[in-house]
Amino acid sequence: MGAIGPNINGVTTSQSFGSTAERGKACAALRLKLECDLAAVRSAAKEAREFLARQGVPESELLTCELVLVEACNNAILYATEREQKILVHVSCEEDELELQVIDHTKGFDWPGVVELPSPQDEHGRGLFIIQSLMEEVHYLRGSRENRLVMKKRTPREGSRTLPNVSRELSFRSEEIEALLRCASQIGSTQAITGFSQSLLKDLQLITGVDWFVLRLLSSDGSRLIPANTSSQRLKLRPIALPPGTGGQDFTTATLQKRNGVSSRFGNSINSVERQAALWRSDVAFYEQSPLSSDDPLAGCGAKTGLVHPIVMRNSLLGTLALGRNQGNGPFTPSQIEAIRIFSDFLAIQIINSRLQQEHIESRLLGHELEIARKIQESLLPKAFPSLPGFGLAGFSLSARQVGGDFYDVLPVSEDRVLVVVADVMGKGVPAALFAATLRTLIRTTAEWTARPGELLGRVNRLMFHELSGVDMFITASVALLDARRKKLWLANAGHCQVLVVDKMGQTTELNPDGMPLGIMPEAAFEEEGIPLDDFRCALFYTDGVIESRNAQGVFFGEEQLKAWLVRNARQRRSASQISRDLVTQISSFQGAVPPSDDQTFLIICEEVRSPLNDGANENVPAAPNSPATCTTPV
Amino acid sequence: MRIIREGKKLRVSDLGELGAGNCGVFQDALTASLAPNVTEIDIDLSKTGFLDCGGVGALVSLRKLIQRRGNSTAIRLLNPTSSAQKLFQLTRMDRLFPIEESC
Repeated sequence: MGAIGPNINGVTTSQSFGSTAERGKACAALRLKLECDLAAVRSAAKEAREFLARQGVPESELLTCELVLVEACNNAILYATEREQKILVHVSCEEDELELQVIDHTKGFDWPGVVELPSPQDEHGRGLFIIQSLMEEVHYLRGSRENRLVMKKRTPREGSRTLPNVSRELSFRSEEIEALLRCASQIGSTQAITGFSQSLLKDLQLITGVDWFVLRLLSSDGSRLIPANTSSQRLKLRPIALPPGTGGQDFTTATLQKRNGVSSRFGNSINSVERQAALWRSDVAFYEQSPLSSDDPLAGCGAKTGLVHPIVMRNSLLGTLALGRNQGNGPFTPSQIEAIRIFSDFLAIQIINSRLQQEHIESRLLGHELEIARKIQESLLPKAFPSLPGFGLAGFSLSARQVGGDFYDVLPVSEDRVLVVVADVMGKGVPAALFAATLRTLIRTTAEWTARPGELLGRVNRLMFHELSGVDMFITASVALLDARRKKLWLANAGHCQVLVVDKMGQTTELNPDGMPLGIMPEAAFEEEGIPLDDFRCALFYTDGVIESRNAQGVFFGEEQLKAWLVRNARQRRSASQISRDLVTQISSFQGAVPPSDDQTFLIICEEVRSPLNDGANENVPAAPNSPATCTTPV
Repeated sequence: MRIIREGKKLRVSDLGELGAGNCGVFQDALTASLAPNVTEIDIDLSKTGFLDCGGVGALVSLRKLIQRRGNSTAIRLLNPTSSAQKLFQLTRMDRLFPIEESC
C-alpha cells in the first residue's frame, strides 16, 4: 500500500505502511527522491520530520532526525560528480525504533575508522561526527552502484506497548549473547584457526541468517588475500592480489585517497568486492540494487545479498569476511551488521592469537636447535692439549651468539711438535659457524700432508676458495708450528691479528708475517716466520673480538692494554692456564655489563716447568655460563 | 535576516535558519556590514529554528575573518534554541563563542 506525492522543490515522495519481514513488526515507511541541491535537502528533511511527527515520534527525536538527514544528504552532495543522479532517502519507523537511510550514486567516500571533530579553525568536516554522535547505529555501505548510509535509533514512545517488543528483543539478544559467550570461551584455545572460524561462522549463520561465507586471510607478505575457509564448495577461489602496503599499519586516509584517485572503482582489473573491502577498509555490500559484477569471484555462489567486512586489528588488515544470503532482498540490517562486526573482532583476536602461538613454538624450537649447535661447536674445541716438554698451552673461545665463527685448534704432529691454529670466520652466528667447522676439518686433514704453516695455509686457501668467494666470505687465521725439541716457532698468517711474544727479559715482539685472508685469491702465498724459543716466555694468539671488546663508556680494550697485560703476566711464573684465566677475568671485568659484540678467542703458549703445583694438565678454559662475559642473546 | 548597526555593535537577528544552504548569504551580508570600527557582534538565534554543521562552519568562518582584522572584535551568540545549544556543545563551539541568554 503506498501513495506517491507530488514533486515539490525537487523532492518526490512515496509513503507505505506495512510490516517488515524481520520480526513481524508494524512499520511505516517514507521514500523520498531528491535532486543534488541544498534546497531540496532542506525540503526533504522537513518532509521526513513531518512524517515522523505523524507517527508519534517525540519532538527531541524529530529535531535529531532532521539534522542528521541534512548532514547525511549534504555529505552525499559534496561527493556528487554527476548532478543528474538523485539522492534517495528512506525513513522507516517501527514502534520504538527508527531507521534513516541515505542512498547516493556517487563514488562514495571513506568513512574514517575513528570519527573525530576537526580543529576548531576548520570550517568543514563536522557532519560525520554529528551523525555518529546523535544516532545509535551508523553503517556506511559501499556498493557497486550505490552507497547506503544507514542510521538507526531507538525511540521510546509515549503510550506504546513496549513489553512484547522488549521480550522479543530480549530473546533475540540472548541468542546473540549465548553465541558470543561460546566464541569467547574458545578464544585462546589451541584450536587451529579453521576450526575456530568454522564454529564462529555457524553461530553467525544462525543469528544473521546467512547461507554462506568466505573467509580470506592476508598472506604474511601482505600481497594477497588467501581463501582460508568457506562454506560453499562450489566456489573456485584463488588468492586475490593486493597493491603493496594494503595490509600495513601505517594505513592512513591520505594513502587511501591517493589510491582511490589512481584506480577508479570501475576500472580495476578485478571487480571484486572482497578486494574493495580490503583496499577501502570499509564494509562493502551487494544486493539487488547494487549487485556483484560478473567477474567477481563470489559471483558463482548464487547469492543475491551479501556483505564483505574487512577484519582489522589495531589498524592492520588481517583479512576479509564475506557473508551472503540467497534469499531476501535489501542489504543486511544494522543489527545484523553489528553482529557481524563483533564476530569479526573475535575472529581477528583468534587469528592473532594463533599466529603468536605459532611464532612462540617456532622460536622455542629454534632456540632448542641453537643450543644443540652450541654444544656441538663446543665439543669441537680441543678438550685436552697434547703435553709438550717444556711448554704449556691454554685456550679460550666465546661466541657472541649461541654459535660463532671463531675457533682455535691444537694438533699433535709428533711427540715434540704441535700445530696451533687460531681462526676467525667473517661474520657471526650460524653461517660463520658452518664455515668454521669446515675449516677445522680441512686444516686437520691437510696437516697430515704438511705441517709447515705457510704450505698448510696455501693448500687450505686453494681448497676453500670457491666456497668462500661464492658467498663473499673470507677467513683470517694464524697457524704456528711449535717444535719443542728444536726450540723453534714457525708462524704463518692469513690476514689475522699479530701474534704477541714476550721473552724472559720482558721484551715484546709482534709477529705479523705476510699473507692475505683465505678466500680472497684462488692461489695465494703465505710467508713463514720463524723465531727461536731459547729465551721464550709466553706467546698470545688472539682474534679481534678480544681487542675490540668495549666497556660501558665505549672504550676499546685495545692492543696496548693487551700487550701491557701480557708483559705483567709473563713476569710472574704462572702456568698457561693461570694466565688464560687471568685474561678471561680482565676482559670480563673491563666489559662490565656490556655483552661482547663479536666472538672472542685466544690461545696461550707458555714456557712451562712442570711442578707438583702445576698438575700438568693443559686445560681448555671453557666459556663459563655464569660469567658476565657469556652472552646468550638469541639470533 | 536583519542586521542593525548601533555604533560599535552589530546586531544580527531574525535568522530563520543557519545551514549549508544559506550560509553563503549569511557570510556575504555580514562581511558587507562589517565596518572598520565595529568591535562587537551579537547574533540573536532566538528565531533560528534550524542550525546545522554548515551553519557552524559559517560561524567559524566569521570568527577567522574578524581575527584577521585584528582589532579584537567579540562575537556573542544569544538565546540559541535548545537544539542549537546541543549542537554547539557537540561541536565544542561553546568553548569558542560566549553563549548568553538575554531578555
